[in-house]
Amino acid sequence: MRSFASVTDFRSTDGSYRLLPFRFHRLDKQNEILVNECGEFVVAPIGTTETIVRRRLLPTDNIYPTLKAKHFIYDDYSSALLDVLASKYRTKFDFIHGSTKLHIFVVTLRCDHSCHYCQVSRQTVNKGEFDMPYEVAEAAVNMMLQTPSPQVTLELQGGEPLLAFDTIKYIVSIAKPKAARLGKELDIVITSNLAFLTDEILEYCKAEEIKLSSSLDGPEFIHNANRPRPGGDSYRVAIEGIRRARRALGANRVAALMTTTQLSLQHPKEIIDEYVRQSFHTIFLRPISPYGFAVKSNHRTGYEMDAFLEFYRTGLNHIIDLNRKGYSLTEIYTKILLQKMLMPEGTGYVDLQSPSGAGWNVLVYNYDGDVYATDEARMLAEMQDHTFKLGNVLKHSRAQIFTSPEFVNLLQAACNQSLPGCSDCAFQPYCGADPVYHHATQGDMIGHRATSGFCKRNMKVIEHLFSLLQAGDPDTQDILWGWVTDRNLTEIRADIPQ
Amino acid sequence: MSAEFECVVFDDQRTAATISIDKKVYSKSAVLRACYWFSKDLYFHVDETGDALQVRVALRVPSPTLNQRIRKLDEWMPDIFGAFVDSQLRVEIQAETAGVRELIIAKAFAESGVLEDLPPGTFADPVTLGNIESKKLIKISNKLPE
Amino acid sequence: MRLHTAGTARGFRKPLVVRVTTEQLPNSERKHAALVLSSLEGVPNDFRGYAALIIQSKVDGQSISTPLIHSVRDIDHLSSGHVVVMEPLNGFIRTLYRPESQHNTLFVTERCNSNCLMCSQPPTDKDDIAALSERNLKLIDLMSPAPEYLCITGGEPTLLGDRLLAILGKLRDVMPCTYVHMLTNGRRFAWADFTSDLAGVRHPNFSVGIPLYADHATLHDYIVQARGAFDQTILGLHQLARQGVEIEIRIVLHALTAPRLVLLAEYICRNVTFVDHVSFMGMEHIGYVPRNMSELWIDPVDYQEQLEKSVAFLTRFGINVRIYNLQLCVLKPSLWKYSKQAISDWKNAYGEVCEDCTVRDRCGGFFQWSTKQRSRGFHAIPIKRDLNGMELTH
Repeated sequence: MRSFASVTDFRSTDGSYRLLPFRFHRLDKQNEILVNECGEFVVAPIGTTETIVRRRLLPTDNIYPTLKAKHFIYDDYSSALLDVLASKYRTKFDFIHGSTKLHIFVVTLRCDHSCHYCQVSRQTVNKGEFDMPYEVAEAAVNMMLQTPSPQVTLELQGGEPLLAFDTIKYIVSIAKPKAARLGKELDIVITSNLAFLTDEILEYCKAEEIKLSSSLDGPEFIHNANRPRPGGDSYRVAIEGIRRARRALGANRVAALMTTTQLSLQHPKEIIDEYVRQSFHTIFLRPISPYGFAVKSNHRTGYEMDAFLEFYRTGLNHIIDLNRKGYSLTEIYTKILLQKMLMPEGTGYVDLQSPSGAGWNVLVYNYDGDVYATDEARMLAEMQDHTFKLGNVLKHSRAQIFTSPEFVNLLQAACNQSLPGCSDCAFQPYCGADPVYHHATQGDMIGHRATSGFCKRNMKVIEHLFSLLQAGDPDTQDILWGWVTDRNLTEIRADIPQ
Repeated sequence: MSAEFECVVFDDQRTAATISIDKKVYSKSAVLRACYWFSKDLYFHVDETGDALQVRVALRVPSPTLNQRIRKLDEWMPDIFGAFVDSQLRVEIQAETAGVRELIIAKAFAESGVLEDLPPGTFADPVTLGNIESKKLIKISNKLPE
Repeated sequence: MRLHTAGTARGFRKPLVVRVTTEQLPNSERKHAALVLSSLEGVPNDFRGYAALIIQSKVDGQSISTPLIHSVRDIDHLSSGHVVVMEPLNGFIRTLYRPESQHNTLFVTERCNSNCLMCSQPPTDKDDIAALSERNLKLIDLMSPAPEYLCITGGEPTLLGDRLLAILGKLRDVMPCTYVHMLTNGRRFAWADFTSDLAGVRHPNFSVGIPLYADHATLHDYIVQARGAFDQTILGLHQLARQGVEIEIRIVLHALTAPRLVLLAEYICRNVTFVDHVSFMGMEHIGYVPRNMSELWIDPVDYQEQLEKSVAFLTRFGINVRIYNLQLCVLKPSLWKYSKQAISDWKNAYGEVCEDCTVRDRCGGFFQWSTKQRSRGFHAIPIKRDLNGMELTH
């Protein structure tokens, strides 16, 4: 019979250890958080990092095996399992694979609304020179389908895209067969204020399996204040449009997004309650983007990030409470961040990618054929800033788009791993790089972290989420984990011990 | 709160100060990176003189305005010192782990199998090893990556 | 449930793998069959074509050339369709396959490259692989009807190397619809070539069950008594995932694994997220366990908290969980819905304490041999509960 060895035969012999890459951050007065290269984290008392780095940690300390398990340190007893780490790291960056997945077509600049935060110049509803010509549309479709990605999302935008319904029909009629020939999966969505949603258009969307994404900024008084139109009835029009669209296409093909303004910031609960009243199950609490019209009409929409953070925390609290009471409502930004923190994948959400998704993962084809790295980049062009104009579909190939000086320039600031401030930040794996935002708000693509609204918002939201997770309230845990794994509270409770 | 810090010399109005930092304890890189994060509220200027770094810090807004109370420079000091310590740790971690980090990333993006390590040790059992003696443990030699 | 007996062997020198029949068969069907008789009296002397005879009574002097074992202690447990191996040296008759059982196994070796403190089948350093592989290849041909489920176990099956591939290949060819689950420590799968070869067999219904006992090498290696085992197992899991093999992780619950159970759950979610299920197993009191009791024993009622938290972590993440070998009276009711009755039918029993229990029919019972260490939690459950552990009011 074999004999048994004691546990000392399975430990490092000299008590020394080496570090694996990680960063840390003070969470509050008691705790710091250590985050490794793949986003795995440990919350520990302040001073833990110092103990580790200064080699005061002992193999017999409670936290020692946990630090090994979570890839913060390794010693000579066992392998550092670098290939496993590499595998995890690669999974986080899988979003790079396939290049551009989201293709935004600006089919017209014409619109009936004059929303305060609108990121395009307003034009009239009458047809004119602000519609995408068929020649441009065809060239853009061809460029879109040259992307390596097997899955492509075609998003039709404007202005108000339904004002150029014929152009939409043309684009869909050439995109679908070509995508099928290339073996690509094509998802089509129209973002619209629904004011021009005729039955004919609805039938078309149903037949072509097109989704609709509309705007709902909150209850009537907020929505109408944010989104003026002749007649002042944007809310009624939107609600009616949503109702009809749902009936024709099914509720799961109709989405709504909100945009935040100064007015919105004062009414988080009312806005969320409106989403509940309209039977939506997702909501996206996003800050207003500081581009285009927003900058011009600063007095209506200028706001501090602090006010947004207050709005977000109150809103999230209310949303969690609604979930607790049985109404399934997911906050999208929270879900995206939690996925980066808790799950093995990265994200497909362009604004939180590093390398930045601008250009690489999303391209915007303007009505005139100009190609932009993001929608926001297009807004800047409306104000004569062409920093992120990558080319034109009529003049350039896809290869030329990605080798243009504008794109190459953008790449310099695209990885938060090497940006000042970000390169030291514990939340680097959870955050992203947004060169367009920083160029627009600070005049420099690289950006200045200490004064960056992007940085402040993400840092504070991530800190808030860690505090929620650490607090450990079981309902909150169930709800949040349900969001990241696509289960409502009832479903996740059926799976977990009760 | 206005504690006195040995290496800090305040100006008369206490809206600016000079901090002397031992270069043997804190690297210039660490100090600069720490200062970076405060640049919304504080000005910094860093000089090297022999063994020390002289860090000149001043409040951007030296006196309170109607709608903005400001923090006194004294109140900033503990945060600044904490930041120097944290920042120095970060610099050391980065220096120590730069090589293995590059290796991890290289492995992550290499083609399957190209940069993979061989498995550690052996899966042999005592019969394979043909050695009754080795009913004891199989010694695994562990080479850490270069 | 009897699975072996013995007698006196005659007329053969190598082990015989044969299918039992209690009725006479026509000549064309006798080739691999062993006729079971209580005695030769009154039986026509026509045994040509049979592979062997199994006779309960003593047989002497008669001129029967057919290989046989006589003076067999018990034959009642043998029925037609059973496959047995008959040993020439010691007259053992070991049952290898019973079509009526849900738990048939293919035992491939007693060798192992680990030496787990709680091993229920302690390894021997006897090179039995060639002999057992030959036996098993014959067995596969004789299993009829093919079982729904077959478990490959040992020792450590991956030590078979190419022979394992041959066995899997034969299973694929002869009974592709049989679901084959292999219990292995997974260490050899760290070597990519071997894993790729195994996946290359393309068995259509194959999965592995691999134990993981801790989130770090020191503790896991100590429990399995092999340096490098943890690293190899984790790397092996990754190679298996790369090859698309279905994976079950098994965790035996005892005093060494219970304290870090939640951390192990987290480790699984972070590092081997691709696994298909995680199974928690109550500890069996056989093999090495009695010898290491002082280190291993913990009353299951005392680790229910960790078990619940660990299950919660895994299920929140989205990994399927099952619990085996723990009685319902000992398990927290919140965990009942994960409890599967899977103690092999030849192992389980119920004690007197279970007589008045209202949920006996859903409980796995416990092992025949667990008379020693018993949980203080054993009791009859007086009020019936549903599958989720909620009290039924009637």
